[in-house]
Amino acid sequence: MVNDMTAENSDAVNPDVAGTEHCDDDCQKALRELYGYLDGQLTVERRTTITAHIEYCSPCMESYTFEAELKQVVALRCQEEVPEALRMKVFEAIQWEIRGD
Amino acid sequence: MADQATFADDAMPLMSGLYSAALRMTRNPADAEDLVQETYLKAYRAYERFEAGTNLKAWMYRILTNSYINAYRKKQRRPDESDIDDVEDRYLYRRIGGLTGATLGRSAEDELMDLFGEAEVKDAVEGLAEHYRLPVLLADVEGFAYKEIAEILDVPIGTVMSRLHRGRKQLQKRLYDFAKARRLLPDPEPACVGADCDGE
Repeated sequence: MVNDMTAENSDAVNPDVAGTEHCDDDCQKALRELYGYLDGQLTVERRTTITAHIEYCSPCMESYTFEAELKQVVALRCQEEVPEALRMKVFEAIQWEIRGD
Repeated sequence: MADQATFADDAMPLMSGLYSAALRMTRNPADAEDLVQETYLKAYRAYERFEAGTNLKAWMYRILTNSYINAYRKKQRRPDESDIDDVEDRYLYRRIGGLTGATLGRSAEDELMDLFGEAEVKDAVEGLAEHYRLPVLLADVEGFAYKEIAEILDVPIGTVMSRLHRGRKQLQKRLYDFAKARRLLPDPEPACVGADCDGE
């Protein structure tokens, strides 16, 4: 969802390059709840309030987008392919248990 | 109650996530394979006690985590954690946010993928202190909710949140240090301005 909103805001002026703090109260609140938001842990009400804020506040939007994409990159980079031998071993072990019952 | 006859069909599709997590836990393919196999056998034997229709994925991860803790935790050396309190929130964004935002026509994700390859990210995750590593893995890689992580790790939800918070900061610092060491960043100094800057 953050990605979609970024596209809409791609022409917005960005005074917050590389972490210059912007001190609006709403910004502070939005940044404090950044991970709760990205982790899908906020109430619908909080989520709506923050979405409304970051849609017009491009510094906050940048922070949100960055953290969302970092989270994505960490997840992608940590994927592993299961060795076929392990899959077979586990499957056979379960079959063995079934026959042993 | 779940039917043991359906166990393989239900649980086998979860293996790649479980194996990825096992590798990040044990940091070693042979140990990870043993851990996954042990998890599946324990789960099969206990499957009749699993309540069908509830969260099988969380249940499997709980068995994986407990098996790991019982078998491997004693062997692990605890890395130094003393530096985490000095790490600010959004550590990486404050230092490279401008970099990823500056290149027109590329998403921050493309930039981050270029900066942090598979080896760096895995290394950064595996180097986290263990009680930060597990919550970070479960939240960021496996996508579990805080409540599920609390159940998997058997700790209060507030503990999950504070460990996640600290773990993510440590992860960002490690990623930054990797990029800096490989001279991938144009300016090693953080471009921070104002009262928030610690003048590093």
